[in-house]
Amino acid sequence: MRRALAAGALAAVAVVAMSVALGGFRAGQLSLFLVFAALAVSLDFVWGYAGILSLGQLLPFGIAAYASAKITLAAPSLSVGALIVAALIGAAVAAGIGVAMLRRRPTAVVVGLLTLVLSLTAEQIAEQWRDITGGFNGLTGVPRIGAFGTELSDTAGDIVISVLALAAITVVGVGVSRPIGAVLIGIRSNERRMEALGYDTVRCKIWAFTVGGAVAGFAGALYVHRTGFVSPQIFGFTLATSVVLWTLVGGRGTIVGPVVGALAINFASATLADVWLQYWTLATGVIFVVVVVVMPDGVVPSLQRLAGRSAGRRRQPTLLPADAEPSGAPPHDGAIFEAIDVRKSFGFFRLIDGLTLRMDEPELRCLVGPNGAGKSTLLDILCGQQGCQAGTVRIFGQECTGKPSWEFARNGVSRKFQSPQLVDDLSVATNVAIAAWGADSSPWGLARRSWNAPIPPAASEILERTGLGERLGARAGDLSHGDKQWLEVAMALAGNCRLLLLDEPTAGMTVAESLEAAALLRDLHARHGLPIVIVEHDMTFIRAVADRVTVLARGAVLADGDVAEVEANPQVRAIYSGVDT
Amino acid sequence: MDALTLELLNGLSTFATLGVVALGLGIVFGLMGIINLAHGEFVMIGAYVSYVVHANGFSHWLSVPLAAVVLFVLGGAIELTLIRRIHRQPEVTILATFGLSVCLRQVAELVFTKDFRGVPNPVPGATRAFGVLFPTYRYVLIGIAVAVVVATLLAFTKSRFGLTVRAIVADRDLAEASGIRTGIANLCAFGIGAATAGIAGALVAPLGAIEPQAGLAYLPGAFLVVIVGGFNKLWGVVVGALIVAGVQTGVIHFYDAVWAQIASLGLAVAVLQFRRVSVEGASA
Amino acid sequence: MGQRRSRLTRSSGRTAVMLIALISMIAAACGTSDDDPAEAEPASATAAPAADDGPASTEPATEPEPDSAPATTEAADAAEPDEPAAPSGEPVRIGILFSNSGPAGIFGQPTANIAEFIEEDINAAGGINGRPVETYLADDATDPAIGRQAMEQLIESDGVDVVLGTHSSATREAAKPLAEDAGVLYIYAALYEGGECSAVMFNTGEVPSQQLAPVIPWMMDETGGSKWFLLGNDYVWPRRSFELARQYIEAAGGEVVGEEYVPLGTQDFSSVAQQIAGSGAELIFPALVGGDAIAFETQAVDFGIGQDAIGRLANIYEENVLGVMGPSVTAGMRVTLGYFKEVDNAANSEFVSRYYERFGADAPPHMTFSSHIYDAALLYAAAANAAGTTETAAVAAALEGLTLSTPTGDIAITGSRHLSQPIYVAEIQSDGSQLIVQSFPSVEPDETCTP
Repeated sequence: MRRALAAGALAAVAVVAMSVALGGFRAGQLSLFLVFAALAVSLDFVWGYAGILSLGQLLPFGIAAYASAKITLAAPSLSVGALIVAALIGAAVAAGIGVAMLRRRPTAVVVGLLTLVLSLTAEQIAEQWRDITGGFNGLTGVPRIGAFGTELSDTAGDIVISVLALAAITVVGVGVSRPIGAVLIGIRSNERRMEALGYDTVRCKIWAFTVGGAVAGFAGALYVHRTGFVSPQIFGFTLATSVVLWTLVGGRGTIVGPVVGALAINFASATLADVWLQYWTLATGVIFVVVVVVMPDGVVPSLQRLAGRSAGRRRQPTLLPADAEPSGAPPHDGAIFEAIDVRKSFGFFRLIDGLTLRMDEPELRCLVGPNGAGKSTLLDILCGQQGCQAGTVRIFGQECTGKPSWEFARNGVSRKFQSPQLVDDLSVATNVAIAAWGADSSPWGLARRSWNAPIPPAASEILERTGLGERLGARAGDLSHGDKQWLEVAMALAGNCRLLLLDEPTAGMTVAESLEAAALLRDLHARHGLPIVIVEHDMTFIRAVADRVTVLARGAVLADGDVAEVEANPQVRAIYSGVDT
Repeated sequence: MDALTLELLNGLSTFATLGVVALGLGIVFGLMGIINLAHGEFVMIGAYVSYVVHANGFSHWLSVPLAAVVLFVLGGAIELTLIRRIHRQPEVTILATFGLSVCLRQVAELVFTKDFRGVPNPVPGATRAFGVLFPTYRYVLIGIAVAVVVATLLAFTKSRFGLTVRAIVADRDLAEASGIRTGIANLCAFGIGAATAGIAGALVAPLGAIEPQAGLAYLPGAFLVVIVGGFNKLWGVVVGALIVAGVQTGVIHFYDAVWAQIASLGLAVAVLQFRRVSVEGASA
Repeated sequence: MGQRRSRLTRSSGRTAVMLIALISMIAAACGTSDDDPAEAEPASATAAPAADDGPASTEPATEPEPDSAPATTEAADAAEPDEPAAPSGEPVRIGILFSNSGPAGIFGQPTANIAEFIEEDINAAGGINGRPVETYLADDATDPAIGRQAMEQLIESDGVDVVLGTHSSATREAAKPLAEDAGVLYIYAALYEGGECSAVMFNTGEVPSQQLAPVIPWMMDETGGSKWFLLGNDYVWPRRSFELARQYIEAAGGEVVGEEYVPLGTQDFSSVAQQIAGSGAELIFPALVGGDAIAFETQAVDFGIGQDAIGRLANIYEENVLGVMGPSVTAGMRVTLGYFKEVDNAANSEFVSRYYERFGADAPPHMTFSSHIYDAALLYAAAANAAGTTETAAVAAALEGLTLSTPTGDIAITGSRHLSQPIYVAEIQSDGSQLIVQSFPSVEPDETCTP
């Protein structure tokens, strides 16, 4: 955070010096392009961090610009106050769209199209609503920035606008250097994982969209003070796509990228468009295509990588031993978990067909069954990844049916997926820290909290015993398959873990490794009293680990008991020997 | 009564135009999951093909098949060089095809200048039918457009070729495992999508101005149709064109063209917001 | 053109220096934001003076007084010594803000061509107060936000003494405050809706009252029609034109049977055509621009409401658009404007043949926009010469009441800071050519302005 502030302050000093030195026109250009840079950074926050491709970032920008123009035209002495109002309006616009749109979990394509269509609709409305918006010609003659009746001189006004734009950029820079930055990257790259860790990802996205809207709204007010006018074309296709171009070319998911992109492209087009009109426009198209295909991360991250610096180099969390860990089952009425008459079908295919299952005491339970028996689906239902069409699910006595998976997670359900689900772009330590923060996370809290992450002993043990503790700085995506498996187990344990669900933890392990894994899990269970449910095929492993085995077939419980009982069951033997009964 | 007949015919010609313009966009999205923002430029190039045909003294009718061929080749080339690298990432295709659209517009400006061009109506005048006079060319346009839309959709939903292409494109993993034929299937889907855009461009050319920016005017309408009709249904193009044409003709009739545009945008917002849209494979 | 480009390139050198300095600085500062801040410090410390350094090596970096020394020599090259004494000294800078790209970009090339004539002709006549003139072109891309930036470039970077504009009203509204703040004279030369009034502005384009007041009664006499249909694109100029047209029509005993607006970029006019057909209109006044005009007229013929059925009086149909429609569609249409290249006077004939000799027979046609820019430049030169200075207030005072004879005809600046000018009605012939069938000399604009 101090670094982001320092960088912002240095940039501000340099911009002021440059504005004073160059003066007049160039200072004006610089201030306008910095306002565009702030707009690009707001898009970057929404797109590059939270993963929402908004083609409608001009909605908060434009609406706030109109509002700011109206306020300032009516009461010129309020122009500074109008900046704050504009930021609030931008936030409100974005929050409204975000709540309506993102709660329905739309695909990226739908988000892009919807925001673009909304933007084009706003353009039409701004043209038609002549009394308020001034129609096609827009509102003009907006005074330059000032306060209490004084209007600043040209260059002074430009410098103030430049500095305010940099301030907005710095605020975003500080924001993403907080834990929330890592969490948003997590949501962008693996939303399912983040939800299973207890993050209300929809709320986080709406929050990010709203904050992005506030920054865009602030930039919109700066824009209107800088240029003195606003017209419906502020919502138009040209500017909407230009912002995307600046952000994309500069580099998403970094703050410096969009700033460089906005400044470089705007200065280049201000200079080249006069000399080289047709070819410059063609060149922007070519740049767009080439960057998308060849360096999708953008120019700045690519250059950083060329210069030998890790592009994803970010602040690393400090993993601390937790004071007390949530271990074993919390006080509860009834079973640890129970699923009553649960049904789930996909098309005509019944995945789970009237299944009832419960766990009363903390135990190590294995779920076995042939392919298609419904094992993974059952785990999905027990952790809220999938809903069910009928039946009831209770976790520690709490009714959880139909709730999103982050609520299951906050009730203490932790899940390891069949194929490891990590945030590949972040380090091992950050993955673990994100898991630890997930239990009680609000976006504002994550923006304020420290980089310390309290890690329960169970998770620390796994990190140490698997050697991951030595490689906390490594990028998660670069780990071997086995290490990814264990990192995911560590993540599952790092959160508020009171019930652990493991989907094929030994896939890809040698016999020796899987026996070691079994020992590790038994140890965890014994020492922390942790209830564990494991989906497995490997009978050697099951014999080594299980207290009790439940056999599923065709979406229902076929048999239940300790390993010996189940192995003796003729129906089970029939299934496993391939004889249908 | 006559007024109603005329309005119905107007609606029908709007429907046919929208349908044939949106067809390629719908195919490429439905089959490949690609949002092609350069689709309007394909239509624009189709219109320029008809201009070149006219300028060289040939019949306008020649330009319809020729535009299909030219755009099939161009679309194929774009698929091979660009789309192939990115077609699994819908977000990336939006960005890349946007850049492509800028390039195509600018190249058209370099080749043809930004002057307006036009081609004369090959069948001027009006025909009396159903008790009203209605432009002959629009009857022709409705006929050809409906034929192209129906033939293309039937080809993709009923013919052996179409089913093969769809199967391959839909089950990507299986198809990829089976080797080179995915490439050919994608090439065909994208090429045919582009070719129908070319036909659309040649068909609408006699009704208005041909200029490098014209694609920007076609794109919103095409998107509206595909959005309203449903992304993942090939026949959705027909449904979408029907609904959009109905809304536009209706609003213009009772109110005016400006509000017709706003109403269409509102319709798109409502559909996007309240209908679940799948990005994965298409059904008939 | 060569000179103007070299000037731009020089200023771009300066931009480049600044750009590189800025980017390296920010990249250095922010890029290390996750590393040691101490690391970032030296980088920006070197970068900040670097921005100073570039320009400072050639000229002191105070207020930008761009292109001071070298511009003079170039201007001397450009001057063609004729009978009057060759102009010398610091050039008078004439900025031209115009649309060279975007939807209105189609009108850009004639204006760029005419800019050459402006330099040549004013310099050949002795320049302004003995000083040569230079033109600086800036493109608004038909976008007011870019137009505003272009205006800044002209006023603050190029340091022009006057801006001549031919672009949309939206750009004018966006750019005007800059001219007012800087006290730079701004002559807006495009036809527009009227109503502009500012201390630094003169408006020399046709306003609707000029295009319509004399022509509407004439049209009704000529054709015998009295029922009008008004069809326009949906923005301020058609709306204002129709507001006035309605008054003139009613005053002349006519009737407006329909008034419709369509969005810019409309492609299908079938429903509108049907409304017109059912309205009983005898005359159509289409205020449509560009592709919309082409789409409407080509479609209208087949709906039985072509020019042969319902006469047209257009106020913006120009040669490019009419050419695409083709004579079979356009023959018989009337267009009312302040200038056609067919205007019949010796000065104009000479001017037009010179234009096509210079820029080729297939050059984009010289038309009302480029002609008004040329006239605006001549008006400015005459006023500045009369005032003996280029100081804005003095030139503005000299402009009021100024009369001039140009290829357009006899023009005069009115007390309302608009232009009293001839209005011509051209009728499209069956070969597609424009024939001037009526001219109204010295039509006064119905404007009031006391800034």
